[in-house]
Amino acid sequence: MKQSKPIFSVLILLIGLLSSCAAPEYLGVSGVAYQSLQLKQDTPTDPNIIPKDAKIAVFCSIDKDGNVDVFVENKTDKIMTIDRTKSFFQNRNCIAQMYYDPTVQTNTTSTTEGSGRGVGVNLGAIASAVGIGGILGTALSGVSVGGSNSSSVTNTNTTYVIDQPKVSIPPHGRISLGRTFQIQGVGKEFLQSAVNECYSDVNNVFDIDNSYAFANICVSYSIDEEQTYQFIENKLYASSLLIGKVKYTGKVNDALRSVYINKPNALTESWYLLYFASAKKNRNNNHKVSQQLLLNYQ
Amino acid sequence: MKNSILSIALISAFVVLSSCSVTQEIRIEGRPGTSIYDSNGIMLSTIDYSGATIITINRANEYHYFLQAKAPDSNLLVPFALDYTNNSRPASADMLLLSCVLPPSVGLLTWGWPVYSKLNAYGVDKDFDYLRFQKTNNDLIK
Repeated sequence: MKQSKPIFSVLILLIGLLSSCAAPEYLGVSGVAYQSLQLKQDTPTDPNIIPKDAKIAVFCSIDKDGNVDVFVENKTDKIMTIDRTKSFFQNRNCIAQMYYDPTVQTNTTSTTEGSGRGVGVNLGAIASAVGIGGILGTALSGVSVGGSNSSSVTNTNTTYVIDQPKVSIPPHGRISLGRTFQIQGVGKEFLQSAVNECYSDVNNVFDIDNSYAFANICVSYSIDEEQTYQFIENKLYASSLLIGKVKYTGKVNDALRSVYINKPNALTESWYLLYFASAKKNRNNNHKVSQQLLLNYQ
Repeated sequence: MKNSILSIALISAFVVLSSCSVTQEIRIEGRPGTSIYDSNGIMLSTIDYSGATIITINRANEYHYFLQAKAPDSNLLVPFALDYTNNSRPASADMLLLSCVLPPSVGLLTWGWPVYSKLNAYGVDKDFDYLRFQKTNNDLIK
C-alpha cells in the first residue's frame, strides 16, 4: 500500500504532462489591419508653418480607440471667445453633439459623527436629492433632524460640476474643448471586427464622399468681444483601410508586408493606426498609432 | 523503490524547467546600419555589416507583436512583426506543478514551490516560440 502512493504521484505527473498538450492557449494572430485619417482641408500638419495671418488653429488628437480631443489655439493678439453651445461634433450618422454639456454633475460625500439609536435625516442630502442647489442647498447641508436621542451629526458636502457654455482664450493661448467623442469606424475595436469579417486581404482607399468613417468638428469663435461669431469646420474622414490576413499560423510579418506593399506611404500619413488582430485583443502592445495631431486653421 | 521514483520525478522536473528558458535569442536581418527598436521606441540593437543582429527577448512578458527598425538614412520607425510558432510545452509544466503539490506524501512538495515560482515568471503568453529568423520591412517603405 505504501508503494502505491509514489507510483500514483508519478502517474499524475505523466498524465499532466501529456494531457496539457490538448488545450494550449494560442496567440492566434489572425491579421494586420491599417487605417488612416485625413482632414478634408488640404492643410499642412506641421504647426510651425501656420500662416502668420491665421486667426485660429484647431488640433485634433485621436487615440487608438478613435476618441478625438480637440484643442483650439488663438493665433491673434486679442481675447478669443469659444461658444461651446454652438460648437459640435458630428459623426457619419449626422447626430450632432454639443461641446457644451448642460448636465449638472453632483458629487456628495457624507460623514457621520457620534452614535446612538434612532433615525437621523440630513436636510442637505434631501436638498441634493431633489435638486435644490445654490445658497439654499448649501445652507441645508450639514443640518440633520430626527427622532433619536443620539447626538450624531452628519456632515454633507456637495460639489456641483457645471459646464461653461463659453470659454475665453488669451492671445496666443490654447485650450481643450473639454469633451471627448469617438469617431465611429475608427479604432482597435473596429479593426478587430474588420479582420474577423474578412477572409482575404483588403486594400481600399476612400475619399470623403464614400468613406466608411467621417466626423465633422465645428468650432464657433469670436475675436471681437462676441459681436460676431465665425466658425471653422474640420472634416475628418478615413482615407484607407487595409487588411493583411495571416495565411500561415505565426507568419505575421508576411501579413504586415502585404499592407506595406499596397500602401508604401502607410507610415507617413497624417494619422494612422496599425493593429495586430488576435485572440488576445485586450493588449496595450498590439498596435501603433500615429502621434501627429491633425491640424486645421483659418 | 521510493528513491528511484523520486529520482525520476526530479529528472522530469529538471528536463521541463531547463527546456523552458525565460529568454530567447532571435536573429533580425536587414540593411547594415539599421537600428532596431522595441514597440515603445527604445533602441535594442543595430544591424552590423553582416546584415543581421541577434537580440535577446524576454519571454516573461506578453508576446511582442512587433519591433521597429530605423534605416540609417531615415527617421522613420518601420514596424515589423515577430513571427512565431505555437508551442504547448510550458502549459504542461503547470500540470507538472499540480502533480507535485497534490501528493505531498511522497515529499515532492519540497521542490514544488521553486517550480511554481519559475513558472509564474512566464507571464500570460506561454504557448509560443519566436521564430529564430525575423526580417525588417524598411525595403518596402518610401
